[in-house]
Amino acid sequence: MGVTKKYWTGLDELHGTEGYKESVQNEFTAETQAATEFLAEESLDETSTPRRDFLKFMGFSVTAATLAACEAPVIKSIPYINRPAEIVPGIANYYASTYYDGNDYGNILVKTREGRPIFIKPNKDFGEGGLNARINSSVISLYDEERLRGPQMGDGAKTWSQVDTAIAGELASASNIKILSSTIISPTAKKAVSEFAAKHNAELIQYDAVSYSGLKKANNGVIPKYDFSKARTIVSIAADFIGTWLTPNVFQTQYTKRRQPEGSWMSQHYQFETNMSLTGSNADYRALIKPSEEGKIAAAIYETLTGGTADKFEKTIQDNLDKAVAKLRANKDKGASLVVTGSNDSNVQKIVAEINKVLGNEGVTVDSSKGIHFFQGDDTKVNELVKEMNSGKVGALIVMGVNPAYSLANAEEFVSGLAKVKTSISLNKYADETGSKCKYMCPDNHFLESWNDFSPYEGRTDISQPAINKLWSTRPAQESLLKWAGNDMSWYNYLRTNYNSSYSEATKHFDDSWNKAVMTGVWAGASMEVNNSSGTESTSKAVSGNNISAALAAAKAAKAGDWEIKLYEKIGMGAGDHANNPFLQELPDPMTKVTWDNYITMAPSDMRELGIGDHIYLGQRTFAIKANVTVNGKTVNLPIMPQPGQASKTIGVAVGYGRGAGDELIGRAAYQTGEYGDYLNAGSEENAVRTPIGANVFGFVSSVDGDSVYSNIATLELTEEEYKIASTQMHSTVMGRDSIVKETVLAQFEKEKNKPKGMSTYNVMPGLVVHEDTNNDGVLDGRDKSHVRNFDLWEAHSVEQVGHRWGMSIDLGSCNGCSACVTACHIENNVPVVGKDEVHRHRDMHWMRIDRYYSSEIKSINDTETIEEKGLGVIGAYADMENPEDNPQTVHMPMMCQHCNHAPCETVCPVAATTHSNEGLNQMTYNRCIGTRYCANNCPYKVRRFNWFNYQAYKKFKHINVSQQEYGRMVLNPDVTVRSRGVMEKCSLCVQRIQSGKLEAKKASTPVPDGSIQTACAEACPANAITFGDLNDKKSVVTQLSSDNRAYGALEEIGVQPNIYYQTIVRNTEA
Amino acid sequence: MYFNHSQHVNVAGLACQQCHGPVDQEYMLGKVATSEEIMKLAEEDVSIISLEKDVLTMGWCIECHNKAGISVMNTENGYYQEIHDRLIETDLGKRDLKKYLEDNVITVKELGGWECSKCHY
Repeated sequence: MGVTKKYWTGLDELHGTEGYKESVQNEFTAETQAATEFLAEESLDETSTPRRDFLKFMGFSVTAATLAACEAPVIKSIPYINRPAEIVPGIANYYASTYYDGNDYGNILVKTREGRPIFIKPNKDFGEGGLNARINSSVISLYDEERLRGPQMGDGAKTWSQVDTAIAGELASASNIKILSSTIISPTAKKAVSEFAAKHNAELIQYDAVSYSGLKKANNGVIPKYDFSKARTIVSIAADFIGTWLTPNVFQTQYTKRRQPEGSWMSQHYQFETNMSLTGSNADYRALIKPSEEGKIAAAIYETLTGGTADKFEKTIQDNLDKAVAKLRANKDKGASLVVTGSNDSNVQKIVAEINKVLGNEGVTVDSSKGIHFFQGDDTKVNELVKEMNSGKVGALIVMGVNPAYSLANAEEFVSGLAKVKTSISLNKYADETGSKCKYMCPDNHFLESWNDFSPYEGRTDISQPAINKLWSTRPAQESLLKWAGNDMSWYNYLRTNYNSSYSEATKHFDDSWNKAVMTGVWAGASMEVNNSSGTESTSKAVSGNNISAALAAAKAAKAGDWEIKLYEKIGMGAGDHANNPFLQELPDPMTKVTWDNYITMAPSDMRELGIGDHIYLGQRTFAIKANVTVNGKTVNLPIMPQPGQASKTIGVAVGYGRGAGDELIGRAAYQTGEYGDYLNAGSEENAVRTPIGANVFGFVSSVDGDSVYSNIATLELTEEEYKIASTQMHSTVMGRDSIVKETVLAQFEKEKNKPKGMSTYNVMPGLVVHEDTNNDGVLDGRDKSHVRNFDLWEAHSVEQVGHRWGMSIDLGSCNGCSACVTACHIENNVPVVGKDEVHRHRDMHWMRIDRYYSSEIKSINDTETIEEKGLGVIGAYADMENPEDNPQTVHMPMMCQHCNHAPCETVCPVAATTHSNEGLNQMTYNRCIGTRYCANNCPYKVRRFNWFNYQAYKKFKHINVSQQEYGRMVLNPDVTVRSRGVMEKCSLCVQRIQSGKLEAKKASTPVPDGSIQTACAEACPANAITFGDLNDKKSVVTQLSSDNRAYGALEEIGVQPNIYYQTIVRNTEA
Repeated sequence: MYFNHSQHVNVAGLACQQCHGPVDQEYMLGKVATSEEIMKLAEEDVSIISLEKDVLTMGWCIECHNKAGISVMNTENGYYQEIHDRLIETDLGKRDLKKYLEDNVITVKELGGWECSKCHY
């Protein structure tokens, strides 16, 4: 460094004037403030080096570096002094357990690394059904920092013994004690509750945020057990059984079993519904009805089947109805059909139950004798309780796992009643809407910290075990109840003893059976039953006199309104329990693809009629219009989202949003954040209040015979206000590009299923347009094509024949769009959560997304008949192709890096950061990437994601990105790099799992067994739509799938030769 | 960066000394030997590969992956047998195998051991 010359930029610098010194200190002027915000990142930590300091240090570090260069940097890590026997650093342990939160139920395997649960996957060996997105992303809630960390009394934290003493004193003198709980399906918990109830003469009232009491009432107090895998004809009247209704993850697995055209038979699915639900989007036939018509449809089916005269509907509905009834009749002798309805009106449910009996489905696809143990809530009792509380007759109320101050239609009445209860105790995990208003908060453990047993239905008992010691001073709710009942036993001992005492096989040791149950997650001994009539709780009785004619009359008398509203649950939020889960908030809704919001769904034709046709195509600069919806005298203000397939003159709004309206501590991700990451303030300057996401519409729930019904008559009033909606997909149709999505109907498939790949009419090998008259029509135009294989810019990679070649096949016919794969991938690969503002700028980071396409009336640019009919030219035709039909067919297409053998991204990278592996993977090397983004521009699938920010440090993401939170970052997968700013990333086909699977095979000295390596998405799919494997292994399932009749590659005509194959959709329709 | 001992010790059968130096003479596991120590050992023991690059740098890994041979032929490991079978089954495979065997050794590099995603996920 022999440079002694000094360069200066002006006389100011040379003379070192005050003004110059000041300007040096203030390099970034006010105008460049935004850049400073972007670059500073104070939150990195104290060792972070701003860029200017970096230059200052350069002088020193160059010297230092020359001295230190002899030794590579060594980072000391601390090993276990005494390593726990079951933990090997770097090796994951899996624990079988069970998820139950009052809404969802699933048999799970919890992956732990160095003792930390980091991933939840389905327990495929011992469990039933797959998992949905809500269950597999629930792992993050364990680390939520706003979870209560210990008992509280009044406003202050207390010790457990202080709280116990105080509560014991109050309970001893209290009269009329009530326990308000979510449905308890744990036999041992039920016993503990009974013990408490007996001691204090308390009553258990079960309450479900989304009620099924009408279904229960109509089936003599039983929630029936349905089996969709045996039903040849499925008729669903507004039941979203794949997404949210009853046990959707189990139903989905059953349903897709019979949606494969190769099977001996394929089910046919009719859906009558108001909103475009996930289930409806998978139906073969779908009719649009108003919520008030649900009962009328059921009545018409019943009356037609029993030979009566049924009411007539408008033609499109009537056609579907006639077809459905004809099919139901045809299958009657086989006893193989199923009719379900999502209505919670007991009259409608009664009719549907009768229809199933008439069709002989009872005992085949419906079991209403024993049923399932979920959703035993009783709306009438809950309403009575609220009245009793308001009259001051309730001495003590214990709230257990429910949040009525948020989810009740008359939540205000509940809150006012709660204030009149002398002793109110919340066992909820959060100081939520209900808990924060209780006198005592005695937080329950998280499910990953708890022992439990669950009986989903008679004859099956599942065990739940902790995967981690409890993080904070929480206590199992059951143990709290036992304690207050005077039983000092720990919950685990109580649970184990309960099994030990009921164990009858004297020949075996109890320990063996118990350990096996814990290992597999299923209790194999005599099953424990949930006694629903235990304690002083009375079973919900069947409505006597609810005979079929009364039900028919009531259903037909349902009042219609000018505008009707249908409430629904979203795949991500469910009933609102997951509002604090950033993975689920960022999960695009399967239909609208909107993240971080709820909104009003409305048919585009209605929007045009209302004069807001300009707000149908929403984009970065086209905002949604807000409207006021008034129901039951309550008004909410929400944006309008166009939804093709929404019934005319109806709107849909999701429940589960608007959590934490009183700024309760329900989790950091549950509130809206602004452009620089701070919470939006809904209060005043002095009294800042965080703004909830979306609006709570539980207040819109109507009541029929005491049961909560999720539809109503609404009034709608447009406002001038515009609102930004963050949607990940703006284009609704494939614009006639038939090489993206291929589909056919069953009859056509049957005719051509034996033709080789690419030879059937629905799966034609693609060609490229050439300047030759290949079709001999005398004109050179877009219809002159030559086969895509005749063109090749690249030399073939030998990977196509040598070593491994990892590939995947995705069956678009099986994929229901449930999005469980999206969240599984999100968590497995440490994909950052970016928040609404970034999604709105189209900077969403999901490696795996599900593209949703609606059909358009013009099927392709060659569809001259329709184009002429509509009187359109070529440009006009393309414009019109963007318009989905009013009641479109839907395609859900999982899309991720296609790992092209001739990858266009690889050839444009100036620094060879993305290269091809000899195993067929398109690899991304973050260390090399300099962020030119050429690769993303050159990717035909738009699957590459750019790290615009340092998501794990920049303040914009401090509340939503788990990697910025002290506990939240423990969920990160240590096998996968956390990417930093300025690099590109994309699906790696879970290369960490491939590598570990190969290593296992090498150690076992065998070729990699087919199916032993699973990507996160393939593993998570409840429909088994995704198959992963080695395409060079001739016997592998994926090899067979990739070369069968239905296989094709997306955008195959551009010649990139993707390693991901798709299977053509086969619909069970006529044309 | 992902490193797994069992890949190198159990599967490849590398001696501890290759990275950890003369552990039979002096207890020093948990510490990686210096380049000088490894080069000295390699002079004495032919089964140790002489590595010049600074230890624990990527250059060091790469150097070894470039020199270390894999017994793909006549191996008892079922995994590598399968890889070998696939090589001799196809034209492209035969072409590759011929290329690999120009120096009479199939190195880790030739089977993909230099590819980024083998260690960087």
